[in-house]
Formats: sequence, C-alpha cells, structure tokens
Amino acid sequence: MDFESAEQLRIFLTERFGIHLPKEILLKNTKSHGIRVHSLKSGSSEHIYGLEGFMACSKNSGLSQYFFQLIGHLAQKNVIALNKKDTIACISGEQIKKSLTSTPGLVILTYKGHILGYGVLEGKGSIRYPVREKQKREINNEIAGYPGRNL
Amino acid sequence: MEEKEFLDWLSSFTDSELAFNSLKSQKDSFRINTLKIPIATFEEISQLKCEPLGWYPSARLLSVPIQLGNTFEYFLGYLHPQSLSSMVPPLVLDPKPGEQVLDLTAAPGSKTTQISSLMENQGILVANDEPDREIFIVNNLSRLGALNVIVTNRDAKHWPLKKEFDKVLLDAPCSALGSNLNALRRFSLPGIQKLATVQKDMIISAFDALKPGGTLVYSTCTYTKEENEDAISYLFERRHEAKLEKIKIKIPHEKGLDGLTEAWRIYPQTLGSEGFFIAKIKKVE
Repeated sequence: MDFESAEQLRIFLTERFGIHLPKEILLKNTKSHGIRVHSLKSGSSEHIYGLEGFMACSKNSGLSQYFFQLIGHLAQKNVIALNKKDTIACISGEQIKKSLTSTPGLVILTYKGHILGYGVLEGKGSIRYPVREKQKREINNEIAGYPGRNL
Repeated sequence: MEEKEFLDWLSSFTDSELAFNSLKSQKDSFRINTLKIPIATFEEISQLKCEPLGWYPSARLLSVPIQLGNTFEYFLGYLHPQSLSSMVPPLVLDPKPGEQVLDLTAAPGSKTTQISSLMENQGILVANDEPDREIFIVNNLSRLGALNVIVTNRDAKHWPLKKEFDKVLLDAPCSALGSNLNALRRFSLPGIQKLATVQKDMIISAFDALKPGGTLVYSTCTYTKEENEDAISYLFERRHEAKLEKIKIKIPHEKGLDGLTEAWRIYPQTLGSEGFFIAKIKKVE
C-alpha cells in the first residue's frame, strides 16, 4: 500500500484503525527515505547530521512491520487476534485463512495482546503478513499474554 | 598464533587458562529492551529461563540455552541478544534523556540501541559507521523501536563536527582477542600496529567531537596494550584537556595497565563474558 505523504498515512491510521498517534511520535516526509517515524522529544526535527528515526513506509519496501509493532496497541478496530498456530504460520510468511470479522484491507494482527504487525485481509478471509525474507522467523517458544491488553 | 602461544602471551595480563576457559564456556545473555516493554512486564510475559544481574536491571543471563533469535521476545523487539561485557560501555557513558550523543563506530547497533534506551528515546543519538554496515544498525533500530537515532556514514577517523556532543562512545574496531576465539589465528604484531594507528586517529576524532565538559568512553574487546592503554596515552599527549575519570558504577573489573588505574580491564572470568577494556575520559573546560 502506497502513501504519498505522512499526513495521508496519519489519516489512514485514524480512519482504518482509530489510531491517534501520541504527540511524541512524529511522521515526516523525506525526499528519498520514504515516510519516517521519529520522536518529538529528540528536539528539532531538522538536524544537520541527517534523518532521525526509521522508515515507517516507502515506495520500495511498503509499510514497516516494526512501525506497526510500535503503534498497533493504539488500534480501536480492525484488529485480528491469532492463535499460536496461525501466528507462527504468519511470521514464517505463510498465508492463513480466517472467517471475516473485518472489512478487507489492512488489519492489525495480535497474539495474546502482543502486536505482531499488520496483515492484508483479502476478500475470502485469507490473511497475508508481508514480511521480508530476512525477517521471517521460526518461533521456538511460548509467551504469556500482555497484561491489560485485550486486543 | 597458536593457542599455547596465545595463552603464554595472555598470562602476562591475567590467569590466561581461566580467561580462555571462561570465554569458551560463557552463557548467552540479553538485554531487555525498555523502549518496547517495561522490565516488570517482560518478567510477567516471558518464559525464558534466565537470571537477573545486580549491576544492570535490564541484563539477563540465560540459564537454559535457547536460540534467542527464534523467540517471540526477539521477534517482538522485547529483547536484544548482547554479551554482558558489551553492556558496560554504555553504562559507563551514562547518557541522559535530552543529551546529544555520538556513537562513532556503531554497527551492529547493540550499544546504540542500549544508549537510546538509557536516553528514553529523548535527545539526539548519532550512530555512525561505514556505509556497508549501516543495514545492521537500521534493522536493529527499527526492531527495537529506537526513534531518536540518526544514522551517518562518515569516516570515524575524521568526524567533521567539533565540540558538538555531550557524550561520545568510541567502541573502536580492534583485534577482538577478548571476544572471538578465532581472532587469535589472525593475531600478528603488524596487524595490531595497523589497528592501533587507526584507533589513535579515531580517539582524537572522537575527543574533538565533544563539547567542553563532555565525556568520552573508549572501549575495545581486546587485551593488547597497543590498542588500549597506548591509545589513551596517545590522546593525553595530544589533548591536554583530556583527563581520565574514575568509573563510578559497581561492576567487577581489574585495573588498567601503565598507571592508568582508573581504566577498566574486564577479563572473561570477571563477568563470565567477553574480555573488554573501558576508559572514561572527561574534556575539562
């Protein structure tokens, strides 16, 4: 999914997920490094050294899973909780099937309240978890639920 | 260099057999990434068998081995695999939220992300390294949620901005004799001399980047005097406003050589981790 500007991405996050970014997390347009996320508390957003933060979205790489891991807990809607089998399948790059509870499009994927990132929910309930080859993981352990998160 | 020859050489610094065996038998360790999860919450959700260490609340030593890179905790950015010794230089640097900090040779970004976490994502942290190593830093920054870092690719021997930073970490490229058992095969005197020349240029460059009153931490994961105490002495000869400072945190260590007793040597048997050299230098106003 392409976003032309930080503002467009911000509006999308609000409309699709009900996410209002906290004041200290800023999105910024750059000429050749996509839309970047950085901290307001780092001071001025213009630095002589270079660009701060990391890429939230770019034309080449698409949306960053790590960006969604950072903000996903703020979502109010279009969140899909996965069981362990589906979580592990998703993380390793497999497509999974779910009964449709959200409208097709991007969804936030969670496991026991932990934010895995975003997935692409397609028409018949299949979910893709876009992940780069190097980020694919074979998980070998278990984790308890994130306290107080009912996502 | 053969193992026996190395042990003979190392015995002039410490109990070499103990050091060598401790390095070989070291347990894996990791740092809880407080940028993404509070320590108390991590303890609630994680089922990894590990033990805390008194000197750093985020440090954990694995009691039961597991491939950390294949855990939920790693995938979610809640932890970062890191040797115990390599957690010490950022603690000595003691960065504060709101400061301007430079990590001059930052890849792969373990210490960078630790510094960002100590700064609570507030202030500016410049992480510099060679262009082909940038990808390692960027991956770790995004996975761990470090938002206050700027990655640059300048030549660390000639850092261009003078008197800009409150704190600078120079974890210099070195012969790695303290951390890598394969390194002793590459060990040679000309090789060490070459590295020492680079380190001397870098320490001057790092020191000049400091504001008056600022702090430089110089570290390596090796034992040779040429790469450690000699680099510090070289700086003192050329920059009279450089003063060695006492490291106030309480972590087991041995004293530096050649009268540099405020510098630290950490041998593998000291922390059950890699060998390290650490010196804290103040730029007096």
